[in-house]
Amino acid sequence: MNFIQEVLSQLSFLIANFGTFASAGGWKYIVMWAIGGILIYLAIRHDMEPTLLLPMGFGTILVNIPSSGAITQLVNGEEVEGALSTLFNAGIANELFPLILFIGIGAMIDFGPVLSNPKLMMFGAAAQFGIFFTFCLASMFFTQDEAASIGIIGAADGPTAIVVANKLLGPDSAITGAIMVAAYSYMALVPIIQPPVIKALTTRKERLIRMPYKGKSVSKLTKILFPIIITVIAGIVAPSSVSLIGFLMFGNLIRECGVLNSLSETAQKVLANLVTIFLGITIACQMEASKFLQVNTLLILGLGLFAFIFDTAGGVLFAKLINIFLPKDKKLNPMIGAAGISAFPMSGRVVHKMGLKEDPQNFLLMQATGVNVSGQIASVIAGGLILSFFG
Amino acid sequence: MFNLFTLKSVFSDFAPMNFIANLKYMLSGMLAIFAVIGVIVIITLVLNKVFSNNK
Repeated sequence: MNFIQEVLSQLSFLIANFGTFASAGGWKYIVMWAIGGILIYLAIRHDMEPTLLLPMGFGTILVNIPSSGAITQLVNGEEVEGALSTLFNAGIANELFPLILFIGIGAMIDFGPVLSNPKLMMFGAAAQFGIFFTFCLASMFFTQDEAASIGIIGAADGPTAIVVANKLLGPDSAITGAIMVAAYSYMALVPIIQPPVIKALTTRKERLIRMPYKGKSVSKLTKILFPIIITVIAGIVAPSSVSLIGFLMFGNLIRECGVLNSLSETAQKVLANLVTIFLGITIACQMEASKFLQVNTLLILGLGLFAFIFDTAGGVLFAKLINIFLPKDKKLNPMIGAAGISAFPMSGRVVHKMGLKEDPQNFLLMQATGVNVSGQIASVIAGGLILSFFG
Repeated sequence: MFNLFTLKSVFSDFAPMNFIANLKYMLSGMLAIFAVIGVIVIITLVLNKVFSNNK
């Protein structure tokens, strides 16, 4: 009986204190815990970018515990550095983590499909429309640098978004966290965002267009020279972002050279996984309630969604435009244009699945993957152009 | 937080004319990206042509 009384008194003490905590502004922390919980739920239950959303979700809870020792805090007037803040300064404020991750991504990408049909690359360019259109939209509410950083959410490429936002706004900007979260969350939501946009812009007849894949073999020398040449061209056009494309292409060169197989495997698996763990949980440093719970955050999330929608629309409409000039038997399935957003490989898979849904014999995987891979290159170049304009 | 005051301050900065003023960046950005990708396409076509036998 005593035991039950003790438990009840402890519970009432906790509830009473929780009420004080909540009414004294602590409810903001509760909201952030809920957001962290939602990210974890989406990662586990719906398998949405779990490698990033799960660490980000957990990190969000971690940094939003009052006086959390995980982030830098003022204790008795003295600054006590937290472990996550140290990681943030060491790996994100100087853009190191996203760049190292790019080595891993580069090592994972097979440029074969796009090298055998280089014209597909133009769809990658068209699908960057959302970046620039969203920049224009965002400029109505934000400064030019902020608008450019919001527009880059449309690159559908987390590392590029981090690098551009950090360079234009600095790591301490109040909106950097929202930009990072939007960039990664919408990447995970590609299978939900893209299909309705594609359907709205295409007729069933267009979605049924078959595109037989004529895979041409690509020489090893071409595969080796490609990353080097891309780095030089992108470096000349946008030198401030040469590290972005350079690290991506370095990873790809390791893959294609044929003499560094163990390094390639390490970059694809161990390196990419390690950096992803740190990147996800460190991004959460930007998810402090005081920074994140702003009206601006909602606006940024909304604009980020626009960026993805207009990217998709840009790619699809460009394919429809090209179709006007093509003979009847060579028409393109406009859905492949949507794969030009960088979200690799989800976007390619979405288009492939949509093709199969309309016609179980319509295999668009190789073409969609080629466009998707070119979107990766185009989004990095777009990031470089944004930096050249405003950096 | 999400009170009327904050909402008002966000929309007090609302400048619709910036959309028009920044369209030039959209145009030059899209042109530049098509130009760069176009150059890459041409180089890739040339590489494929030149090294097609060197598999």
